[in-house]
Amino acid sequence: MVKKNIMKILLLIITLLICMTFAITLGAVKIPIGETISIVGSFIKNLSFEINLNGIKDSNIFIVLNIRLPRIILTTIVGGILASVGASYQAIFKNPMADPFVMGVSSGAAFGATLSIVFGLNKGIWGFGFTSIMAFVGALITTVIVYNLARIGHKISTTSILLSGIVMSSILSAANSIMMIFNQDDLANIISWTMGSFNGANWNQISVIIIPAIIGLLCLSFLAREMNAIVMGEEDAQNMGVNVELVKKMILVGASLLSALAVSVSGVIGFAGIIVPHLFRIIFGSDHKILLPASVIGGGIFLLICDTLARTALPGRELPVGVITSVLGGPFFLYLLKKSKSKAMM
Amino acid sequence: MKSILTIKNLTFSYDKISVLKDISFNVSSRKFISILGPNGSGKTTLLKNICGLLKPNEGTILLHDKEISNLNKKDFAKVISVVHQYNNIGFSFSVFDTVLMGRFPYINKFKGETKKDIKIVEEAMQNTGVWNLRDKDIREISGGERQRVMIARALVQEPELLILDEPISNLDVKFQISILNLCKKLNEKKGLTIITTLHDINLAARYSDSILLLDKGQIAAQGKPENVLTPKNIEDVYEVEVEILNSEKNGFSYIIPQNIV
Repeated sequence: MVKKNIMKILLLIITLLICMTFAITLGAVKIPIGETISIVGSFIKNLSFEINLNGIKDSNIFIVLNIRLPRIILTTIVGGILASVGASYQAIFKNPMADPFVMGVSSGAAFGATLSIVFGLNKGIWGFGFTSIMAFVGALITTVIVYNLARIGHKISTTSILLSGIVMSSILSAANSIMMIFNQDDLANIISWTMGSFNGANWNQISVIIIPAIIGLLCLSFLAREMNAIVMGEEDAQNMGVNVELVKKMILVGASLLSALAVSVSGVIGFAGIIVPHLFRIIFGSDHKILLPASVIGGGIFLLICDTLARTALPGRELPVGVITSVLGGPFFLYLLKKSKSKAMM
Repeated sequence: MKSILTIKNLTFSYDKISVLKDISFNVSSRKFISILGPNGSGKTTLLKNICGLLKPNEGTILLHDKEISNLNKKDFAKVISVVHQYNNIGFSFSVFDTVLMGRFPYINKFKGETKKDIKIVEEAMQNTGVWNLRDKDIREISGGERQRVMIARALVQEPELLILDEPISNLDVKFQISILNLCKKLNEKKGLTIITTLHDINLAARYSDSILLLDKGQIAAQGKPENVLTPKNIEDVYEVEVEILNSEKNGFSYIIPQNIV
């Protein structure tokens, strides 16, 4: 059983690597696959053999190393975060429709980002910009508020979380709309941020998020067995020896931090957090020991494909990746829904 | 006889609504105990207090002379396992994986499940007759089969005390008998102490060593079935007139309701 799972994960990793390689070659400038592999290979310095970069244009090396590679890595990380956070929320809410934004992370982040854009705090700053920081802070404050609204004593009711998450989201969206109405000049910026994009991806962002992302994802995976038990019912889980309240809190905190992190670098990307775990539930079943790692890698693959389409579909201009995830994901999701005939749903 | 569970002066209320009043009883090891009483008499609330899901306002619950609130959750789960009344599982798991989850308190996080765990799971599934369902999806088996799977999951916790909350309420008569026979077999062959709530007075009388009759949150009567299930007690608690018939064929008593229109 374990061996079969390791094979599946390996297969997913290989698929991810192939997708990454192809994604680097694609774009306004087509870079041959051999060149791509040489450039990336030389970048990973401790390869045991010398790679000859003679005859490869400097501009191509620059594009690969400074534009495409960071973007592809960031996309993969964000995709992995969104999908695994979605899977974890779905477990503790016992609802396959929960997404990484149920606790108001997206609207909180959008509110923070809009504030930053409206007040012109982000102009001319590259790297891990102020808008990202504001988005991160906005997301966290919103989650803390939602959490406290839903708390009764030291217990948390998942239904109250869903409800207060919805209410906080609509309040913040309304506030956002008001800011947008009074700041027509910034409208395009705000909208493009809200729809999600990896346009400004760079190594700085990766260096900031990679370590917390890995720690967070490991923490969630570490709780896979507990998630399995909670899915059976909280009372059942407790009588199987799971400290349900503690585990729920750990997952909520970990998942909220992760999704705030993802949103702060990418904007709001819908759907990846629902569709990827759902797809793997159909393929692998609901055992979180396999579902979580599969979602991390699968989320990376999914978002990578979407982002590659976002930047190559139209010549000379980019589509927001959030639009692609929905356009591509929506019909696919409906197809799955129809095919599994509500079997895999509730 | 050694008592596994001692409950003294247990009182419980939801906010200000009093549900259980001054409940005291002893459960001897290796007994089959049924808790009976009308809807709303506090049966499930009593079970939830015993299995640590609710905290009593007053009184003590001792498991082998230790206050249950002092036990950590994993140690608790190694002594008491519970089959709850509702299990609407919305996610797909194989029957085998579902039963394996019961090993949670024994499984080391870093090592994962061992051969011993797998062996215990297989044995429990054989004993409960669900081994042939092992690869099926837990959501696609019948209610009676699912109840057996839940009992198998409870068994792999290797408990001394098995608590069941209305295990046969939604089952047809064949499955009712098969579940209770299974419980009785585990009780007699494996020495498992069983506490279950039941609605069927006749079945309770047939299977139990001892019966606890609850009425409005208090114990109306407790003891051997023939002493507890008298026409007077049943009329007092259920407000139904009954007659007791003795079957000549097998020597058991049957309780027949009288005022049927």
